[in-house]
Amino acid sequence: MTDRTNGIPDDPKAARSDGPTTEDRLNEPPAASQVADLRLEAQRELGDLAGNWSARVEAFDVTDAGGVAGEQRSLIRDAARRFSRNKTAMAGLILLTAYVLLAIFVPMFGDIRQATQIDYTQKELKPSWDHLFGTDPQGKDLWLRAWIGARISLSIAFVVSIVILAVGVTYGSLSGYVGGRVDNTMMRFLDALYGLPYLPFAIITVTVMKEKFPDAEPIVYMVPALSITAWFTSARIMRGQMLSLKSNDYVESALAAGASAGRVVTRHVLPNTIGVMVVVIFLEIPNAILGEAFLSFLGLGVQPPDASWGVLAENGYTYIDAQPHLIWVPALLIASTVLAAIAIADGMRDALDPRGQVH
Amino acid sequence: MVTYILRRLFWSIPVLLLATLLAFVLVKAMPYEPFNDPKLAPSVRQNLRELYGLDKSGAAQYADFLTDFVQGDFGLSTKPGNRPVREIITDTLPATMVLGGLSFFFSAMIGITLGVISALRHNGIIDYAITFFATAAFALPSFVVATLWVSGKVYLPPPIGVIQFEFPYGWDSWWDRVGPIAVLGLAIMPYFTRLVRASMLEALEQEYVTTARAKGLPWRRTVFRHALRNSMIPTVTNAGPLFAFVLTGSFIIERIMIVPGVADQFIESFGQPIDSRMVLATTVLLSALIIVLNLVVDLIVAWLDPRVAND
Repeated sequence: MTDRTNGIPDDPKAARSDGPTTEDRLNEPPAASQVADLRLEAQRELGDLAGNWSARVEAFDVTDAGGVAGEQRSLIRDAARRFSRNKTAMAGLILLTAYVLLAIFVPMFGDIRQATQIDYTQKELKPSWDHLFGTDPQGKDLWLRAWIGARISLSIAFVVSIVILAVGVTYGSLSGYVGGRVDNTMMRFLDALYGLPYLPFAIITVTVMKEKFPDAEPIVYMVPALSITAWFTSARIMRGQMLSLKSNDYVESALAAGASAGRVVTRHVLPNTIGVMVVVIFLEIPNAILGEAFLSFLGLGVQPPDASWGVLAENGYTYIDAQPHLIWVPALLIASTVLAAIAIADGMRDALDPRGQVH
Repeated sequence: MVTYILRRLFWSIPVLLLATLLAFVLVKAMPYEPFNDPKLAPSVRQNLRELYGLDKSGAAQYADFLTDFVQGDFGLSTKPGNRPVREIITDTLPATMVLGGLSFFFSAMIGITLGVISALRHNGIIDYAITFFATAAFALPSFVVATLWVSGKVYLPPPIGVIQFEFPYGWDSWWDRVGPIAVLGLAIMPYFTRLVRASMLEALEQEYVTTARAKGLPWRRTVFRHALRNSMIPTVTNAGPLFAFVLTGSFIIERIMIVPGVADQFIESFGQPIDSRMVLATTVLLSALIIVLNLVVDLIVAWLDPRVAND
């Protein structure tokens, strides 16, 4: 496959996301591939699960989406139409929207005291109209707690994804735009960072942040912890975008007209990657949701009295024998959010690059 | 090929150094002052700080740490008893390795088999069933599966309802170990299934499959000799990130299913006061483990697909 580490894809086929065929493989100069590239190639072909998708996105051939404003708008409209025809993706979008709305409005209109105050007269109630999900052993209403938790879990997930994207855009654009030696070094450095294990570094970071900001909201210490070793893929994707876009005529004409490199990148190249950026955000949401749940479950992330889906799951674990449904509520919320985000990312990727649909 | 191996080996040195530096800086920034107990006399505290080398500058401490670390001296735990960290790690690392290794192995075997079956029965009932199973196993967080396993509840449709079982868990006997290995394996398996299914579907459409069939090669032989072998490359290539994933899973599973492994020790270290030596040593060792495993994967890929090495 064409060497993306060192230059611009010279063979347009190599940048397509439906994966190289045998013919492609034969046509390509065999010398080029790095293992990392091969890995990306493989992930691109196969990306069906969260971790594997991102690389597929990297290979978007957006070259023909470039430049002209009117054309750009209609491309977005086309993508939106294709997306709305994708049933799985639409189901995911509807579900996630519903969760966000419930997270906003249920705690707003509910009686918050039912979720925060201990009331043993109401303990361990079965689900009913008054308590849709029943109550826990302290008499707290689980329906309310689930959506209060959703506020924390979902906002952490969205902010983490945006932070990951921002870091990835900065690092990736710099590396991809400058190119040459700088690019090579920055990518080697990124390869190095891939060796860092996610959970240990997340745990250490969350502990450091909690020490520095003892009274802060959970989001303050969770976001750095969940982003610190999570932005590498996003940086790779954005670098790939930069590489494939910077060779476009409109970039060269902007430069020839005297625009600065910074302006070219921010005004001409990055706007053309918006679709990919949105895909990156939805790809990172599952990791962030699961990361939050893991940390909080271990007692190192969000902690009671703050509620998050991870905290609720930990609570469910404690009372598993008496009230097994306590763990099912956060478990199903987490699982459905993960699947919804993946379905959206997948649908959006297909909508933006219809040729990329394989199976 | 030899140049390639040497270059990859060479590159893993700065990677490891970077991991130690990042871990060291972060651990230094932690609420870590084990001898701040007001009951300690200032002179005693000073002696303790000197004993642990805490009175030196950050850079000197890092240099000390590196020198000690490469010599296999990971310092003393600050937990009661002050055991050497190295001893704690050698006691607990085997369990983590066995848990991770065996669940990786079994999930690969079962996952690959299911993936192949799924691809061969594309869009059939079996394919849908396997895909559904893989999706569910992927979406349910491992702590939920582990919790349900330990609780021993099995949900069956009414009128049978919930049945109580005694599933094995813990680490005392090989029978007990079935539990943690199965639950961790279940978390990893969908990755193999989905990967193999997708790459098999891709492979089965390739021209060499048609050619092999046209030349009269039996279907079975075409599938196993040609399609499966070629679809193994992307599977191996993706095994690298999987190691990190296995590690993440083992933190949860060691905790819930009572496995005396190093991941559980790591979490234990975050009690008060934080056992920073232990945290540091474990983090660096786990990074090293992942880096080495990634290196092995890269070398296997280079062996499977020599084009990679001819750079």
